[in-house]
Amino acid sequence: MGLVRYILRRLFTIFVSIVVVIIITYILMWLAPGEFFNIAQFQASGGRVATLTPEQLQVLIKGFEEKYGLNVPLWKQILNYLKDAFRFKFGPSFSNPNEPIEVQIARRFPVTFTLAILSMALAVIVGIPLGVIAALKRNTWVDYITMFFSMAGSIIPAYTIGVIMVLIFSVWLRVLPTSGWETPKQMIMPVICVALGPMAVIARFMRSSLLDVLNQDYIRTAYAKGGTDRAVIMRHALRNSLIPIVTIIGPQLAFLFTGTVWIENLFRVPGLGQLFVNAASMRDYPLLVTSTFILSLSVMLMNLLVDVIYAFLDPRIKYE
Amino acid sequence: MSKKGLIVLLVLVSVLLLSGVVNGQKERVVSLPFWDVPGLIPYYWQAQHILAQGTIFEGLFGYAPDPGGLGGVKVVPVIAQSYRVSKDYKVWTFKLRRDKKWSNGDPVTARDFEWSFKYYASPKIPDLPAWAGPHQFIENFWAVKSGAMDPDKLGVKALDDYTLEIRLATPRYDMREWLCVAQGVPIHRKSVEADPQNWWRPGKIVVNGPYIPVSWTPGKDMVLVKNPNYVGERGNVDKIVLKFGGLGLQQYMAGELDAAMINSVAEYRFVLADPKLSKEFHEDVMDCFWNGYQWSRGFDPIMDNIKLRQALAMAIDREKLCKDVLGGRAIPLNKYWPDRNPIGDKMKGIPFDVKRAQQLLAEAGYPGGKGLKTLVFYITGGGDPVVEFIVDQWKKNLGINVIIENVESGLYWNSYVWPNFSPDAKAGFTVIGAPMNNLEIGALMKNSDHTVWFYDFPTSARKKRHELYQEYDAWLRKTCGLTEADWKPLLEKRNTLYAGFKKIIDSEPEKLWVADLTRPPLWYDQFDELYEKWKTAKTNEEKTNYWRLAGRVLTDQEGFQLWYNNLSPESKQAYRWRYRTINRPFSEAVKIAHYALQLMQDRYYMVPVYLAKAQWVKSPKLEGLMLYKFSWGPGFFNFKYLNLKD
Amino acid sequence: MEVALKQRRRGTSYWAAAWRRFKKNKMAVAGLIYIIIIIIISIFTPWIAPYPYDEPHYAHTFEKPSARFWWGTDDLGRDMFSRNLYAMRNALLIGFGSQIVVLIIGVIIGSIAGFRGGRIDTILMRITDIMYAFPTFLFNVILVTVMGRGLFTILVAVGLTGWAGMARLVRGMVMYLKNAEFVEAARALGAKEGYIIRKYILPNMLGPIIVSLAFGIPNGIWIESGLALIGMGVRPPMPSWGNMIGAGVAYIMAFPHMVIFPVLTFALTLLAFTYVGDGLRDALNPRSEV
Repeated sequence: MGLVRYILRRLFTIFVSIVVVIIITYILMWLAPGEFFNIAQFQASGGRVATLTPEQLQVLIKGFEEKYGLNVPLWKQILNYLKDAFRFKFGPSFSNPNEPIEVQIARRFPVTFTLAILSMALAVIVGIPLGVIAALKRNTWVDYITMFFSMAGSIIPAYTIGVIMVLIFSVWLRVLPTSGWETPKQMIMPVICVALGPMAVIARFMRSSLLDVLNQDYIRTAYAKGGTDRAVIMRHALRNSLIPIVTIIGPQLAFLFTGTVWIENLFRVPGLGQLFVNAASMRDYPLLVTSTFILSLSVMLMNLLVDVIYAFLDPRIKYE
Repeated sequence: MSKKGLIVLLVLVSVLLLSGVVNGQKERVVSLPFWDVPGLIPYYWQAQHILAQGTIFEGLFGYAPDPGGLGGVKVVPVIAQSYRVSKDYKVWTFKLRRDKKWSNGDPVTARDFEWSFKYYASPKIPDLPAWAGPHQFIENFWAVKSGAMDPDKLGVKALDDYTLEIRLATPRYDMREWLCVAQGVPIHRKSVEADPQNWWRPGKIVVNGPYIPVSWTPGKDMVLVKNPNYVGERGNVDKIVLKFGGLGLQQYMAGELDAAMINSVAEYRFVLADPKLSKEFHEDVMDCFWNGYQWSRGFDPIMDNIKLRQALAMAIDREKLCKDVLGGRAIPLNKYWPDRNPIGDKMKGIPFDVKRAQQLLAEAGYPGGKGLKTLVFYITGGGDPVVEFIVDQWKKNLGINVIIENVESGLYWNSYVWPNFSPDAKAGFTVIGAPMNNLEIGALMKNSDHTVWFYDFPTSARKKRHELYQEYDAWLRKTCGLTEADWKPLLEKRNTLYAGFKKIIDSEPEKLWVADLTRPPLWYDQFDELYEKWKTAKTNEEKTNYWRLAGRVLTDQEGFQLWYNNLSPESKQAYRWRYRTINRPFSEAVKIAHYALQLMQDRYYMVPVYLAKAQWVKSPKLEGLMLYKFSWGPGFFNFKYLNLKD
Repeated sequence: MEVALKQRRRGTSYWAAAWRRFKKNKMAVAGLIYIIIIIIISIFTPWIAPYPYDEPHYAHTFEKPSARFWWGTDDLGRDMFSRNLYAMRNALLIGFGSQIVVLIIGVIIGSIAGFRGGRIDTILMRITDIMYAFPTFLFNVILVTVMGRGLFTILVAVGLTGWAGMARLVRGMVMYLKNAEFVEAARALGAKEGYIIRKYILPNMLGPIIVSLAFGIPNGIWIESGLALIGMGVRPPMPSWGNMIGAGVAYIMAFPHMVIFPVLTFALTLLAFTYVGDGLRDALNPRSEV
């Protein structure tokens, strides 16, 4: 009961926050130098529109504004956008007039979702043991080496690692295809590249969380009661130290929804990141606003989900 | 013969037979790199427009390979069988082939063209990039597009099933060339009307080209298969897989692509060093572009100094740039068209002459670069070795300081490179890779006609003209015009402008230019008509509207007169030559295009520096691969000639 | 937290103990030494670098490492070693600069919210929440678009989008500290609010703030490299790791030195900061979670 009220209240906060975020985005675009709102086809023309008379140009601009709902004042554009956005209708983008953005998102979402889940699974499967090992062997060379490599993997830009992997596995060894997204073989390299970042985060987090738990009084008590090392750790420490991991998996997942763009381009993975990343630099305003919308929504929902799960796992936490 | 021998023989024979059979039935698949296609609607200026030119769609005319031709192509009839054109080049009549079919078996007729062209022109497609296609020239197109006229009034008519008549608003000598582009193809009426939103999706789309798209994933790939109902010349490839993005050369080396573009010096050197790849290497010059720099479109008067412009253009070692910085992936270019080209051969290049450049700079008032303010070179992206080289040359050879300023790409293209004016820009430059969008006469100028339109008059007039452009927009928001008093200043202005206009008409020697200026509806007739309409208008809203439109007509004319009267004599002459060029058939136009180009080049506002090469590797088995050399290029297109050798 | 406070009351020995704990972490010490070295190098870069970062040598483009060009040259024949040094300097400027912005905004908003409480707190925290949820990278892109490119704008943009965490941290601490026993005691003894803040609250907040900043620096560097990759980083010819790596990857087939050196220095620097952050966290704040 408390839970339902809590979730409803959080959902309302999310709604308000998103409205504010969208308004800020619009204002920022409006402030930006140059035109954001009626420009797409003129940059594409490579100077061709210069041959048109002002009157002809006016016809084109009018048609363009009509298609994208730009023929009303800014505040109304924002209102119209919000009204449609919460029903997941975003209209077409400048860079792709062929189909509405929601169709593009619907097609790309499963790919990104699969990529994100697979990578996260890999990151968890590898990251947690790494963190545990590092924590148990705290301040030994095992700790240093595992931490060093997992962190290095997350810090070297994944794109660079990807290119090197392609050279090694596809061009020289010829064991993996360079790119694509159908067969499991094609998925190996992109998943590894994407997993490196969260893997390091999880390993580090796991390490410090486990160390933290190992320092707690009840673990010391367990030791005192005469439990063997391993049993103590398995039973108490590990379970309790896993709880905070949940908090970082959520935001990391939300981040993966768009943070994978370089990898997507490199491996021809038709995901969301590809769609969103150029929106700002190409001044594709419908896409820019929509990506802001989707991103902030998913981050906020993920955080909510994490808080709820967290509360289930750790009964000490109460919903305020 | 022993039993064993017999069995061996049998096995051998059957293997041979089987392999023969398998070979005979084996699908011939070609994988190629391609631009990321966001949809298949042919008329949008998206990657699919290249696909629509002869691969999945066909129009009346199309491109065929021609190594000697501009853009490596020649124009050949595809669906058209023959054509007739009226003396004034305004009425074109095409006879169509009778054997062409849609992929569902329906015949391709003149009615398909009529319906499609009217559909493109109708307000149903509000965002048609009309500047990219032939419709902009068709009679009544603009009135139809704005919704003021019924689409049926468009000057396109099927006289019978296999005769199409196109009437134009102005003479156009290059309609055949224009009809090759994506907006010149018909779409299948029944399937479009059945599902206007989704008719173009693979699996649904009905095409008339040699290949049918069967699957498509944006950001990944598209699969095309042979159209069984296609009639006409084509290669033997059964299936084409177009892959979007990724690492091209690496995919090629891994055997996943049959051809790949070479994108950097590193790849180029790598390919040359590899014994196998170097044999599969090809290159061609992107002669439909020129790459270089243009002066900024801002209002700083120091840009009015032609000697300064000339000095800078002459102080760049183009050979060194191409050899050392571009690593042999470009050829030096000191005129808009290169040597060994029908236009380029007749043009004079800008010399690399440091002495003369220094002298010119001194004559310009900046001996040794002294006294000249710091100029700004606008670029976008992380950095540009070409710009850094040019800036370095100017510093070394002329002692001029230029700083490089990075602008975010959306702003850069719209507000610095291609706008009419960029009020925010300081005195300086942007890079420019000026393309021909497609084969047509106007594009022979390769956008250097911006010199006439937006550069070659004093920056003070440039500023004034920019203000008039803004006023032109501002008229739409003015609220007034309900009384005669509001009209008074307009009527006075009309008369002054009329006098100015008459003077221009009477003194301009080029008849073609005068004809263009006096083509009805004339601005003053429009104005008078609006005034009359205003008098009889009933509502205030209508009145304001007529008043606004009249105000716009005057502002437009004022802008024109300002431009004409301030234009340098050389640019006026260039523009006259431009008129002469575009008013003759394509093959004739090519012969005289250099006059206008030379005059514009000699104003040194838009300065050619190098010409990029297209380089690629290709499987030796693959034949008939055509390079796309126009805007968007380099890439591959027109896949109907693809052939796989066994 | 409690430990920190207890230590605080024992005076300077808190910092001595922290330093002892920090020294135990060998990687953190190594990282600290590395960072001190690169800071010194960065201060003296113009004198240390063998060539100016923008000096081209057209006869020596794409050269492999040699005695003349220690780390080879790039597409304009510019010395990769010198460019790396300048890129490092820029990265440090952005890293530290952005954290100063974060510090200023975060401390102001966090402490106001924490001290005042009530409606002001609610409003400020809602704003912070929104900042938290706002897609940082996108916001940065927009900010750079609006404000124009350049070192200063980028560090401001990175700072402007990164203060939410700091504000939350400061608010939490202020709320805790203002009701802490020793503060109450001081108040009971008649100390003025300003004195309490200066003498008790600020010093106690220092530890966690330093830790947060230590993690913020590599983050700022990372964001800049991301911006540079899409062409919105510092202004060329000024080098930055992001655009050196972005450009270098294209040349990996024939000139791997163009990407290996920037990647290595970039990764090492970020690692060093992360290690130091870890070390500081363990040392200053031994029982915190993050």
